[in-house]
Formats: sequence, structure tokens, C-alpha cells
Amino acid sequence: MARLAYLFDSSKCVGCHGCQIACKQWNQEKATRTTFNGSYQNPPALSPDTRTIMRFYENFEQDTIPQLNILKVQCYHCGEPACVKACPSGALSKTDKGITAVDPSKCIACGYCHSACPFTVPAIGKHVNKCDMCLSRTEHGDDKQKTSTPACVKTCPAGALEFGDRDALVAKAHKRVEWLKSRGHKDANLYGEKVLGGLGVMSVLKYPPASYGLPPNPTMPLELFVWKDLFNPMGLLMLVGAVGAAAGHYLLALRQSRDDHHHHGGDESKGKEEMKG
Amino acid sequence: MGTVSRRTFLKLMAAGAGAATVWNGNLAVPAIAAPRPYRLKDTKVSPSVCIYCGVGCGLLVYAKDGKVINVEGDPDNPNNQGGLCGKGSSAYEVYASPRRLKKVLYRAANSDKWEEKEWSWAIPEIAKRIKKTRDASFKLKEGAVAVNRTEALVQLGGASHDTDENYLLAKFARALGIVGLEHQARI
Repeated sequence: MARLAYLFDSSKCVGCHGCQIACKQWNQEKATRTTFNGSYQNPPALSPDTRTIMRFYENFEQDTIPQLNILKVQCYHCGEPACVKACPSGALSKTDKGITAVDPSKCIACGYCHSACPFTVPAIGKHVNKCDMCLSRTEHGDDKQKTSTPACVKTCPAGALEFGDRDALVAKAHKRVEWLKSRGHKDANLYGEKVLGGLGVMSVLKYPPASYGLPPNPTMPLELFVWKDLFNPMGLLMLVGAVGAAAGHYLLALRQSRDDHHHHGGDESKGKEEMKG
Repeated sequence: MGTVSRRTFLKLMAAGAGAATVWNGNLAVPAIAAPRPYRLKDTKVSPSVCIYCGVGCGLLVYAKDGKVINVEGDPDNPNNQGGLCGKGSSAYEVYASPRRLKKVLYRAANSDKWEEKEWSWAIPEIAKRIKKTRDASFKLKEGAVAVNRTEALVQLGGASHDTDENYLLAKFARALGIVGLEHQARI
């Protein structure tokens, strides 16, 4: 099955917050009361009631070309998701179309996914809350009414979001990056084509990833590798060993006690009788 | 052999519990997340128009059991092709918001309180006041020129009025002698 993905083109985004509202509306999440914090970014961060936000990076310093860098932040649906690996209860999983899906009913709210995620995306309230690429829409939606695309992608009035087959989107994104370069944005790049097994949400950026608050080379956390790839199988091995040892001990002990019975049986009963007497 | 000693029994119990713990969190056991049920199943779809600005984006309104459950953009509408801005995306709130006005609110002159009124009171009252102001301020002539107008009234149009409504509203305003025709999008 071809992998589904969506592409965010920050050079087309106008920062209207349409995707945020559409996401809240579709996922029936309540609005949070916020205060003005000096930027258009609102709400300030992802939360148990917010799955996607526009992050605004403003740079209006003297004698520089003014920048207003906008990044859409949500779950990036990594090809090799650290959260799924870290999840101990099976609430997070990867579908055959490459969507990192959530089952809140299985979540135990331990927060391991939040710490493991290279972008610290999953938010923990009573259960984990993060983008599932509108799984119910992509599975059951109607193409004609465009209810088969995620709510944020459908609503984008600037055409900054596109949804579809990942390979086709990568090709499209490369063309866009070339076009941006030809227009003088020499740092234009596509973020997320290869990192972490290829992100399911890729971003076309006009400036280096750091200007958008993105880690240039996100990696799976080391402790997760140590925990899940070393300690877990080793623990399993040790358990098998322990069970084996216990069984071996049991058999040996049984043999021993039988032997004891043969050799010293008479003495023991004698002793007991003596005690009684 | 038949009997199991207390110690062996406890050992086996511990081993079983340990194995179950590791098994549950192990990668070898695939977790399958159940997708949330599709909200738009068995819904009635009706096209509508966004109530906010003058663009007039098309909406699709999804209703189930006589209640609106979702509103999103209409891909067939040439204005927005399925897209909606931040305000338009929240169009469902117009229906569902607890702060939605469902009755006429009236604040009398010099009063600091809003009172709830019925439509059957409000519409004749508006008509009465328009008539009164118009009659009091109507001018037949400006100097020697016949003007037949009132300068005490203006009319304010809304962005989501369509062509036919605008035609009728303008016609109505001209009939009263109103010369100030304004539009919500310009104020």
C-alpha cells in the first residue's frame, strides 16, 4: 500500500489559522482561553485540546530582510516512529498507509511518547492527544466532497497543504524547492524527506530548518534504543533463562528428594517416631 | 510426582507474570489502534454559504437526526473549492455556540440594559420608526431642484446577501428616499 502523506509549503502559507480551527472543529476539541503574547501564534503550544498550531517565527531586525516564518506543527507521522516504539500499552501504532494512529482507550497516560518524540509532539492529558491524519476521514471519506482528506488540508485556502501519495508529493516538493531557489531563496529546502524513516508530513522551507525551530537532524532517542532494543530482548532472554533454571532446579530437586527417600527414608521416619516418643 | 510444592508454585507464578508483562509491551506483538468511528456516516448534506465576509465561500452542512453535526467547505463552489479560512472553519459554532442569539435583544434609548423581545414586536417597531424618521426628514426640494430624499436614514448591506437580495434591498431603500447605501465590508 502506498504511503499517505501531506506536504506543508511554508512559502505559500498566509498564517490564517484555518487549519487549526478546522482541526479543532472536526476533532471536537474545546477552545482554550489564551492571552496575547506578542505574536500571532495562538494557542502558544500543542496541548491535550490542540493537535495542530501555526508557529510564527518573526525576525524584523534592523538592516535585515524581514522574515515571517510560519510552520505548521503537528504529529509528523515518522516512518520510524519513536512514540510507537516507546508506547507500553499499544495505544499508538502505525497503519499500513504510514499513519501513526492513536487509540485513546488503550492509553495509560504514562507520557513516554511525549519524551521519546524528537519533536515532543504527543500531548498528555487524561490520554494521549495527537494528530492521526484524520484516520476516520482518510478511511471512510468521500472523494467528491473531499471528506477523504484531512480536515486541515481540505480547509487550507492558500493551497499550502496538499495530501496524497508520498512519492508524488516528494517529487512535487522538489520542483517547488527548485523554483524557490531560482527566485533567490538559496537556502530553500524540503524538510523530512529522509529523516526518521521519512516524515509523513513534509515541509517546504524557504530558510534553514533552524529558523523554523526544527532540529536539522532529528534522531530516535538513544535511551529508547537501549531500553527497547537491548534491555527488552535481554530481559526476555533472562526470563526464559530464569524459567529454564527454575525448571532445571525443580527436576534436580525432585531427583534429589527421591534419592534421599531411597537412602535415608528409614532414618527419617525413625527420627520422627523418636521425637513423638 | 503429582504434587507441586509451595515454592515451585510461587516460582511459576512469578515467571508467568513476568512473561506476561514483557509480552504485553513487546514489539513482537503488533498493536492495532481502532480508528474513531467516521462522524459523517448516514448524514444529510446540504450546500450553504458562509455568513462572514463578501467572498461567499460555499459550505457543506452535515446533519444527522435533524441536528447539524459538521460544517466544512464545498469543493464544488468556485469561490473556495473546499477551502475555508479561520473564521469560515468555525462556521459550525454559529449553530452550536451557547452564546448564539436566538431572540431579539432590544436596548431602549438611554438604557443600559438589553431586554429580550419577540419578533412580532420587533419588526412592526422597526417599520414604525423608519416611517416616523422618514416622514420627519423627507425633503421634496433642495433649493429649486426636486430631490425627494431623506438624509436621516442610511441602509447597510451585508456581505452574504446575494444579487437578488441586494437588488431588492436597494430598490426598497430608493423607494424610501434613502441615498446612503453602505456595505458591511467597507466599515
